[in-house]
Amino acid sequence: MKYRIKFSKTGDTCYIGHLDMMRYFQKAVKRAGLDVRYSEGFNPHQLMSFALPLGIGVESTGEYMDLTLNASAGEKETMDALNDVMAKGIEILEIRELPDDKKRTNSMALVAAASYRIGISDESSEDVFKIVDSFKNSERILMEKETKKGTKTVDLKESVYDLTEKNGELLITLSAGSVLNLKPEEVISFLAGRDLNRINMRIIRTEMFGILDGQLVPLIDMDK
Amino acid sequence: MEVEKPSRYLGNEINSIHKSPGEYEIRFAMCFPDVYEIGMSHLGLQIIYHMLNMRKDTFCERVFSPWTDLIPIMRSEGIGLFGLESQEPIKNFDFLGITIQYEMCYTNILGILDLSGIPIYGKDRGEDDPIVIGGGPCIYNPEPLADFFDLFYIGEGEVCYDALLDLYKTCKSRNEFLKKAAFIEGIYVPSLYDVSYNDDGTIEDFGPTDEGCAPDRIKRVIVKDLDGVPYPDKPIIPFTKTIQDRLVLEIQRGCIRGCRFCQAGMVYRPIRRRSPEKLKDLVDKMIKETGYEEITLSSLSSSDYPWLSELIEHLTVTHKKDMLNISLPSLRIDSFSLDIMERIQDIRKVSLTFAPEAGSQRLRDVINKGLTKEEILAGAGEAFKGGWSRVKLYFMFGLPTEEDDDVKAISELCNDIAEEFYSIPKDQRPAPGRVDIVCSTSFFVPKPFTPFQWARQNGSEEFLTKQHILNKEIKTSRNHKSIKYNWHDSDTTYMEGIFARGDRRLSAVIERAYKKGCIYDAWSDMFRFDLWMEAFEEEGIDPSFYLRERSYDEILPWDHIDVGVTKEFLRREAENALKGKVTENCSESCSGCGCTAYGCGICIEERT
Repeated sequence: MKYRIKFSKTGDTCYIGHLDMMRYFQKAVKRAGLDVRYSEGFNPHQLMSFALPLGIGVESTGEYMDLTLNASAGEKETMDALNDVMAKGIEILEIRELPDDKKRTNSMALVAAASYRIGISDESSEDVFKIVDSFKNSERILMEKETKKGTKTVDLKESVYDLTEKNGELLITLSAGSVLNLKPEEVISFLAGRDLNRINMRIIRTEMFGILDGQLVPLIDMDK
Repeated sequence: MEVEKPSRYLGNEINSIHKSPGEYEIRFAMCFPDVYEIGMSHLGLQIIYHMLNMRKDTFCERVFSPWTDLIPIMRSEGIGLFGLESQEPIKNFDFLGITIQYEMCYTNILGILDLSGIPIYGKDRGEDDPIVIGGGPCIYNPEPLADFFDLFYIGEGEVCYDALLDLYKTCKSRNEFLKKAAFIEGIYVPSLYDVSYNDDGTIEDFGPTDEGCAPDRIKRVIVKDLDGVPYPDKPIIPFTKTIQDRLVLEIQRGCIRGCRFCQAGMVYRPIRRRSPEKLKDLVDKMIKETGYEEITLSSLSSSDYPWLSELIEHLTVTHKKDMLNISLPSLRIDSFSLDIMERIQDIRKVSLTFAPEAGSQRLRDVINKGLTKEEILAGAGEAFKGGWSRVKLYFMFGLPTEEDDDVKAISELCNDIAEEFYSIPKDQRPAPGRVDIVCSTSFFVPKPFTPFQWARQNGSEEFLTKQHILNKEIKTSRNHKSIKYNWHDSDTTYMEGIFARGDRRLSAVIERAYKKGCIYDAWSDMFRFDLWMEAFEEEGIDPSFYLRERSYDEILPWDHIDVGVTKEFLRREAENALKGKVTENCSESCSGCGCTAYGCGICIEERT
C-alpha cells in the first residue's frame, strides 16, 4: 500500500541535506514501527522516494515523499506514528493513502511546479519588490540557464506561474521537476539584476504541484 | 553556504538530550577533539553522555573540533566554542572532559581550549574556567599532556564520575576541589606531582610535590560487572553520515590474548563479558529507539565471546523483520567464524581480513600472536571453499628482533595463501577464479604498559628500507600478480612514537607546534611534519631521545600509573619475547599479570 506524505522542514532542520533527510526518514519509519516494504534483491532497501530535493538552508512547509507499506495502516494512524518520532522542526502535515486500482505515478515524476515564500533581509530590498511590477508588464523575459547539457534559454513568462508581493514577502510559483527545474534564488537574482544569495533571503518552499487538466494541483490532491 | 556540513553543529539530533536552565547545577562538556563525524562514532563518548545526563543535577553536552572552514570564522566573529545542545560557550561550563584516543589529536586539544577562551595551561586557569579532564587510552601515559589538564581520569568512565561530581558540589574553590579529587581512586591531578631529570634526560625522580598531598601511585579504576552499568540504549542518531553510522553493541571489554605489542590487550584486563540476556535486552531497545538497520558487535576479539552464536541467533532470527545488517570486527578466521559469517548473511563476501602482524612464525611467537601458519592457511582454505576470493592481510614492521628474513617471510606467507587458493580445482574455485590478496604494512610503535615498552622504535629510514625490501620481494614472487601491496609514509608513526612514551617536557613542543599552525595532525593532508620538527628544534629537544631503548631500571614517565598489569609481569613477558616463548591466553591459564587484584572477569571464572 502506497502513501503520499506531506511534511514540513523548518528551523534548524533546513541545514540537513537531502541525502541525510532520506537516511533520517529510513530510521524514523522503523522507529514508528511501520511495516515498510523492502525492495527485492541482494541489497534490499525501503521503498521510499522523495519528490524534489530541497537546497541546504531552505525551509519548507510543502515537502513530499512516497512510502510503500506491506499493508494498509490507515492515514491518521500512520501520521500519528510518524509524528511521535519526528525531530524538532520536521512534522508530518498530511498523509494520503493512494488507491491501488492502477499503477500510480510517484511524486517525483508528478512534480511540475513549486511555490516559495521569500523574505528579503537585505538593506536595500525595495528594488527587489519592483520586480513584481516589471514582471507583470513584460511579455517575454528570457533567462539563460546553465543545465547539465549546456546553456538553455528559458522564457520566465511561461515558467514562472505566479509572482506577487504579500506582507513584505515575495510569493513565487515556478517550474520545478525533471522538465525544467528553476531555483527561486536564481530567478529572483536575475529579475532584480543583482546576485541575491541565500544569506540575505529566507526562503520557504510552501507547496509542490503536479499538472492536472492544465491546472496546478498540490501533489497531495493529485490522486483524488 | 559559508560552512560545509552545517548539521555538524546543530546539536538537535534524535535522542540528544536538552535540559533547561534551572534544571541542573553542573554543566559538563564532553569533547572528542576531532571532527563531528569521527567523534560521534566513538562509543565511550555516548556512554559518558548518557550516564552523566542520568544525573538530575547535571547537564552534559557534546563538543567537537570545528572543521577548518569554521575556525577562521569563529576567530574573526569572536565566537567562542560552544556546547552543541545549548549552543552556549564552553567557557561557562563547570567541566570540560576530553577523550584522547590517539596521539595525533594533541594539537586539536589545544585548539579546543584556545577556541573556548580557556587558558591552555592548567596553572593559568582561574575560578571562572572549567575543570579540564582528560581520559581515554592515551592517558595511560598522560605526561606529554600533563601541563594542559587539571586532572586525568585513569580508567573506565562508569566508575567514579559520581564521586567526582558530588565532591565538586561541596568545594568552594578550584584548588580545594583538585586537592580533594586527587584522593578519589582513579583520579590523577598532575599539578600535585613534580618531576626531576638526570643529566642524560632520563627521569631522576617523580612524586607528589609535598609528602602526602596526593597518592604515590594512581590506580586505574574498572567496572567489575558490565551488566550493572549504564549503557546508551537510546544513542544519538546523527543527521549526517558518520564514520560508524550504526548501532554499536559492546559485548565484552578486555582481551584474553596477551599479544605483546598490543596496549589495549594489556590495559583493559581482565576480560569482562556482558551476559547474552543483557545484550539481547539492550539490542531490542536500541533498535526500537533508533531505527538503525546496521549494528556492530564491538570487542577486541569477537571470537572469544562465549555466547556469540546465541547472540547472532537473536539478531538474525528474532529480528528477522528488522533487516539487520550485522558486522563483526576482529574475528579469528576459522570454521566457527566462517559459519557465523554465513549466518549473518554477509553475502557480499567481499573480503576477509587476517592480521598475522608478522610474517615468520619466529616473530609471531616473539609477539605472542598465538596464530600459526597452519591455522592461517587452514582458515584461508576454508574461506576460499566457502566462496571468498579476496583476502586482506595486516602486518607490522619494526617489531623487536625483526630481521630482513622476517620481512621477506611476509611475502612468503602471502604466496602460500595464494597457493592455497590455486590448489583448489579450477571448477570449484569461487568467482572470478583468481585470488586477490591485499597486503598492508604499518609501523610498530612501542606503547606504555606493554612488554615492549622498553624497546627501541625503528627510525624512519629503517621503516622505509623494510618496505622497500618487501615490495621487491613481492614483485618478484611466484604469485605477484595476485598480491597487491599497500605501503605508507612513516612520519606520522615517528610522531606517535614520541608522544606515546614521552614525558612532561613535550607540552612545550605541542604548544609551539600548535602556535605554528599544526592542527588535525591525524589527517594526512593537514599533517605538517616540518613544523613539528621546527618546534622540537626551537625547544631544544631531540625527538629521537623518545624512540630509544630503555633499561629495565629506568624510571618511566608513566610508572606512577598503576594500570593493573605489573612491571614484573611486563618484564617477564619482555624476556619471554626475546626467547620466542609463547604465553598462554587467559582462558587457558593465568599468567599472573597482576589484574587478579581487581577480583572480577575471567580471573574469578572457571577456566574451560
